[in-house]
Amino acid sequence: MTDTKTTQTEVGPDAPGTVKTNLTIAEAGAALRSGTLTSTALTRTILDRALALNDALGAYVVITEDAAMEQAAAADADFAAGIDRGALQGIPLAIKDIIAMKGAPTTANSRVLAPDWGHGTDAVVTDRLRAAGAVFVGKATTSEFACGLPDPDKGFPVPHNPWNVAHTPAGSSSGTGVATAAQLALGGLGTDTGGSVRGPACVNGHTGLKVTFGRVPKNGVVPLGFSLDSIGPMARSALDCALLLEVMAGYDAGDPNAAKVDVPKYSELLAGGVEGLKIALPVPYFFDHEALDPEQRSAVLAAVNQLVGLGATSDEIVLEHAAEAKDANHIIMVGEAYAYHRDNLVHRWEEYGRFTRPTLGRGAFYTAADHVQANRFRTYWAEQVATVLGEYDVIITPSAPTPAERADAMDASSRLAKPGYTGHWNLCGLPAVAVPVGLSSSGLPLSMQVIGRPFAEATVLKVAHTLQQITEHHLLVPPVEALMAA
Amino acid sequence: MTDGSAVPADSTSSEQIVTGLLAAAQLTVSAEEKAQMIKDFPKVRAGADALYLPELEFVEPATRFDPARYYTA
Repeated sequence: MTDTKTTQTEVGPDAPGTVKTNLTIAEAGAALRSGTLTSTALTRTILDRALALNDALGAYVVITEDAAMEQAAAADADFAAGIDRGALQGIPLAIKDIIAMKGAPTTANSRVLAPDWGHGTDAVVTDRLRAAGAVFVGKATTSEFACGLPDPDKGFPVPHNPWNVAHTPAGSSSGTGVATAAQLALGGLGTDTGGSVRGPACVNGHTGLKVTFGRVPKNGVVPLGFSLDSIGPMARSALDCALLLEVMAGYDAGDPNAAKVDVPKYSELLAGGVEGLKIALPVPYFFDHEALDPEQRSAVLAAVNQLVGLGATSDEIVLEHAAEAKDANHIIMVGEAYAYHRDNLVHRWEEYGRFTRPTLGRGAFYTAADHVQANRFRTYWAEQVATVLGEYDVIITPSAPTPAERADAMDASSRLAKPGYTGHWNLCGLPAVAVPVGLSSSGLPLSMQVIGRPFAEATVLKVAHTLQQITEHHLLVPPVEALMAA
Repeated sequence: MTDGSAVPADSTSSEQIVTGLLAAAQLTVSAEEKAQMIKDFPKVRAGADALYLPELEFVEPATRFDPARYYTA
């Protein structure tokens, strides 16, 4: 593995064009409050980067430049008036384009979604961020309807991995992942049905949290898998994810699955280290699969060893039928998505992207009994995982079997045969955070996944935060300056 | 408990099943897409069939219906 750190030029505090962009949300918040930075300058700089790099990286479907500058000015005016709405005030964020946001269309990167879907409204989660003073840079690229792969023939931007544009930025929250990594936002919103927050966080080299099912209300978001979907924060650090989540989380009556569970001040629960933390390592499938990249495995185990060095303990365990759990998640997701899309698939098949329609159409190949059986398996799997998490505080796995694959090697069929390490935790609704753990020999990010008990977001973020106090993997920035110059 | 296996024995049966399922679903796909679906079909079915495990014989599905949810107090 290389340990090369690509550095960003560090320059003066405030003039647009000279503002540091490799800031975490926490760092930017501190600068905004100390008066060494304004949101106007930060937002202008981020917007300029986004406008300069969007053709090359495809992070945004639309950049809401004017509205963002208005939000930034309002944030600065509030600071000047002594009004502090919290850690997100004045912070530029990316909003995945299946999440409704006033002032911009929601397209789901699809020609099929009604053009007026969500028009003029904020999703609950967007409204909460807006009320907290956040700045929205734009609507971030997503895989069409949060599944499939980009189809360049449909007229939407195709996202590219900023570490190597020939490689995938993963999906479906590709745009937010790319924007966060390339400093075209300081973080943002993704959604996760089988790994769509953690996959992009994994391959783009930042932190991403899949929350407990029901932790963040989903009204105002285009569904994929009703019983699996969640909205999660994506940002460079675990602390930043905590700052986002404490605004995003909390009950709303408009989402029947929203949980009536108190929202802690996550950012205040990350200190204290991991002394006494009990880690379970499920070795079969997650650590011994023939498709697991040796560098990914080594980097994850090295990070576990670092946690053990800080006082945690780890044991190897077995989760039976892990391969089947990936299929169960897929069958439930495809069945639920097919029910939502069925009429459009019948009448507008070719308007869907060429990688989306065979994935959704797979729903026609599963029977109703298969769907029920997948849900019976879900019970079995959730009970098995609950038994493990009755004894251990967290489960740790690689976030994915490999670093980012070449984009031209990916298709909807190849995924069927490959292992996956993320959908397992959507199946049982648990929080799981993807944490950077280094770079591969080819300079691509490596990532570890930490899974916890229901609503134990603070625990998994604390593990990630502890690691990020002694490493700088999450602070590495991709070499995008050459793209900018071009 | 039966496993409900529907894994086709050969590509001919895959083609027949995929053709029938697409027709039943009223999906009009290109010849290229259909060929790929036929190729993938054994893997798709194997993933579903693998879930009919003996361990699940007495397991309830992770779905629940609450009739009271639709009535306010």
